[in-house]
Parts: sequence; C-alpha cells; structure tokens
Amino acid sequence: MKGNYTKIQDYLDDDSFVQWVLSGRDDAYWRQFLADYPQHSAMVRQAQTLILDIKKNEGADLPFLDQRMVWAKISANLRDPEVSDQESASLKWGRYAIWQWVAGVAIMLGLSWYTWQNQPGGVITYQELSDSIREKNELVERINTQDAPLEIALEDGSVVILHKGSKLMYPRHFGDKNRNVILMGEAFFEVSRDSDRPFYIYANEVVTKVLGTSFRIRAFEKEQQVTVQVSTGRVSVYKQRRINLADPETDGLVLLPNQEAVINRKAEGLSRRLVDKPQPVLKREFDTLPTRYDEAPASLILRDIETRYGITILFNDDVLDHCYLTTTLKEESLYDQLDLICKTIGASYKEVDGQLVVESKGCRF
Amino acid sequence: MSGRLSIAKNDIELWLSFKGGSERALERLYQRYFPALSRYGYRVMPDRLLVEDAIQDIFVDLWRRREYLSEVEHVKSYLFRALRNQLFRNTRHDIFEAAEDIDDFLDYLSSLSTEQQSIDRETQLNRSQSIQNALANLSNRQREAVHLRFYQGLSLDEAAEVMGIRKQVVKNLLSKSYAVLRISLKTLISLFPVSFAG
Repeated sequence: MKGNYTKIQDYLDDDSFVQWVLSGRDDAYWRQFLADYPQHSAMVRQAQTLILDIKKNEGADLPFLDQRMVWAKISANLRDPEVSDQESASLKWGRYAIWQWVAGVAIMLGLSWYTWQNQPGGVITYQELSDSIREKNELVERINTQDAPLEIALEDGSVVILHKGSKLMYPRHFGDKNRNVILMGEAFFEVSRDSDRPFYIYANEVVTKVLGTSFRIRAFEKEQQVTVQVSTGRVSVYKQRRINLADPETDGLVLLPNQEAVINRKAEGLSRRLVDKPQPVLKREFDTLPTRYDEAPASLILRDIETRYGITILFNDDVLDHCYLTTTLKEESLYDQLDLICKTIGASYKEVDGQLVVESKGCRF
Repeated sequence: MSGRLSIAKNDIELWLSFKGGSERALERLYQRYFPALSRYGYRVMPDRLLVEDAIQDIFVDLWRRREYLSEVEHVKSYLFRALRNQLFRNTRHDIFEAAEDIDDFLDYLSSLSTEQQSIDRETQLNRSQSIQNALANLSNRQREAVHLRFYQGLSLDEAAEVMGIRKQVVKNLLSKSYAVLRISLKTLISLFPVSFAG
C-alpha cells in the first residue's frame, strides 16, 4: 500500500506516480492520496521536483535530427520493392561516401559492385576509390616520393603531412556538405573545424570522419592493417563493407585523444586501444599542473595524469584517497609514471577498451 | 505537422492498419515517434548519422516484415527496442554490452569516482547546469535507464524490455543513479532535506 512508502525512491519506482508527474495521468488518485496522507506531502514534493528536474535537463544536449529527410529515404524504399535493396544501400553509402559525387549511381555502379563482390576478402583499393569519383570532379593527386614529409595545404585551411611513398587525392574544391579525400599510405591530418562539412578520409576499407581535430592514419595497400591514431579532438572510424552483404552498413568506433583504432583489413570489426606512447594533450592546462607531489593522495595524482593525457583512468577514489606518495613526474612516459605510482602503492593497472583501470586494495593497514 | 488526425487513432489501431498494408499508417507512426526515437537513439549512440540510418533501417524493415509481425502491446517500447538492437547491430562495437560484469564494475566505479569531483564543482553553478552535470556523470547504462524512465516516461517493465534486462536490474541502475545525482545535487537538495534512505 502506498501509504507505507517510507522513502523517495519508493515513489520514483512507482509507474503510476511517475506518469502522474510527467503527464498528469491518474491525477484524481494522487490528489486523493495526498489528502489521505498529508504527512507524505514533503516526500512527494521532493520526488516530483527530482523527476521534473531530470525531465527538463536530460534532453538538453540532444540534437534534432532530420525527420523529413529520413522519411524521404524510407519512403523511397517502400515504393519500389524491386530496387529497394540497392537503393537503400546506395542512399546510405552516399552519406559516408564518395557516391554523392557520382550521378546515376544504380546503373553505373551495377557492374562495379558485381566485380567488387567477386573479389576475395572484401578489400577496397586506392585505385577503386579514386576511379569512382574521378568522373565528376576535378581531382588533384599528390604523391610524396621524397624522404622528407610533404606538407599539403587544402583550400579549407586543413593541413596534411604526407609521408614517404604515400598518395593523397582530393577535389580542387570541396562540396557544400562534406570534405572528402582519399589516402593511400601514411599521413598526419590537422583538420580545420567546420561542423557543417564533416571531413571524410577514405583509406582502403576504412572511413574516418571528423569535424576538426588532428590525427594520423596509416593505410598502405600492401599491409594487412589500417591504423588511426588521435592526437586531439574526437574522430569516428568506420569500416566500409561490400554493398550487397546482408548488413551493408558500417562498423563504427569513436576515438578520443591517445586512442588508436586498428583495423584488420580482411577480418571483421574494429578494435580500440591506447597508442603505444601517449602524448600530453591540452598544453595550456598541462602547464599549470604540478610536476612534484609531496605526500599527495594517489587519486589526485592520477586525476592530473588523466587531465594531462586526456585518457580516462578509472579507479576507486575511496581507496586511493588514502594512498599517499611523494614523487616527481616530468619526462617519463605515461606508462613509466603509472608503473612508478602503482609500484609505490601496491596497485596494478590494465587497459580496457582504450581506458585505464587502476586496481588497488588500498593503503590502510 | 502530422496534425490532429493522427492523434485520433491510437497506436494499436495504427499498428494494425500498417500491418494490413497501409503505408499512411506507417508514416503516422513514424511522424509520431521520430522525435522520441531520435533522442533516445542519440542518447544510446551519440552520432547523428548512425541514429538516422538505424531509424531508416527499422522502418524499412518493419514494412518488409509487416505480414510476419505479431500484435504488440506497447508500440513505443517495441520501436525503442528495435532501434537499440539496430544501433548495436550496425556498429557492433560495444564490448561492454557483451560483458555484463565489466559493465557493472564500471557503473560502480563511475558512481564512486565522480562523487567528490562533483561536490567541488557544483557549488558555483546554477541549478540547470548542476543537474546536467550530474546527469553527465552517470554511466552510459545508468543514463539510458534514467532517460527511458524520466524523459521518455516508460514504465519499469517497458524500460527493462527495451534494454533487454530484468526489471530488477533496471531498478538497480536507477537506484545507483539516484546515489550519484543525490551527491551531485547535494547543495541544492540541502535547501530542503531529503530522506533518500537505503
């Protein structure tokens, strides 16, 4: 019986109560309840406040997506069941892909899809990517045959540092909706920010999408793996699949600073891990962090390291608040610093999905 | 936009008439639920393109399979569940989905480790910001449960169905969320003391 509710949580777990607060349903019932149990009114008011606060603020960061456009695509699929499979694939591909650059997708590509499908291993080459867009656009191709890295400035202000033996292809002018380039080999990208025109890099089977950030991609045709390493900002990495597979879309991952994705070109999926030598991010903030700690709690030092490298470090504050140590952290690598701290306080750490988890039994004896 | 006409028919009626081959009924369901679906989808996977694609996929799929679909009791939670599955199917990256223990462990860590930070930070912020920060401190699954329950207004049973977990697990996730929210909002709530026993 609701008269027995003793804590706010009892109300929050009551479906009828939550509905009443959110949409006014069962109003008569709850009014009567308040009349019958006036001593509960303070608890009810607090539960109401909490629910309404959450309702009001939970959606604050959620964007409005394009309802009309998505329906247009669905509708195109419903009308014409004969071509619907191909159409949905091409519509979807168009978004991640170069296919926006090509007119008459279905007919023209019919043949090449067929050939791609019959290639072993699901590998996409630089040649195939560039052939598919050459038709419509005036493209620039840069090849670095020198030992020294080649710096290429793009019209949007982005800079690409192309390594030896690598090629970059890009349109002389970017489109209104996106900025697409194709890479073969290794390059470091500093992409200027433009949230209306995402920057896509196609490299073998891998599509990397960014708004503005810096990162490195390594995708040589002869190598089995493609890697994407993030220095600053966030990037999304997808794997392109064969169009006619049952599930034609992509696998995706979001990468944060000092994380890298390693993509095995023939096997399924993507994996995320930390780069071998994480580098500090956010130079300004990092300068204000101390390098010397005197009898400082380990939790504090780990938080500073977290800030310095932009890597999430998970640990139990309650435990590490009571582990004190005196140390100087300067030029050592991230892993040397962690080894030192963990050794001192008898803890251990491991990497889980691009984050670090520090485990300790604590220092209270 | 979808107008008053579509409100006149309830979900179940629309579902039946869509199953019977009415494209118009499907469109009304779409217009009715796109905003909620897109917001929930974005909460689960914050990538506009992925969410739009997944919504497209589920509606096209519903249409193709309409003759084989059963009648559903709650259209809204059915669509939410379909969207969630589709998002994970399209990305297949969430290793924590597969590993419940790690997930619970991370839930636990996040509720512990965010508390102190939050207390320090919240004092000078205004109310809305405090609440948004507190929400941002929740683990992904806690936030998803809170979103379904208090933003989308689902019952505990429906939220459990959508997330594919037992009702008790939803309750536990919510309960841990209250702990994080309570500490984050301490300064606000202390204006009127709360008895969050248990």
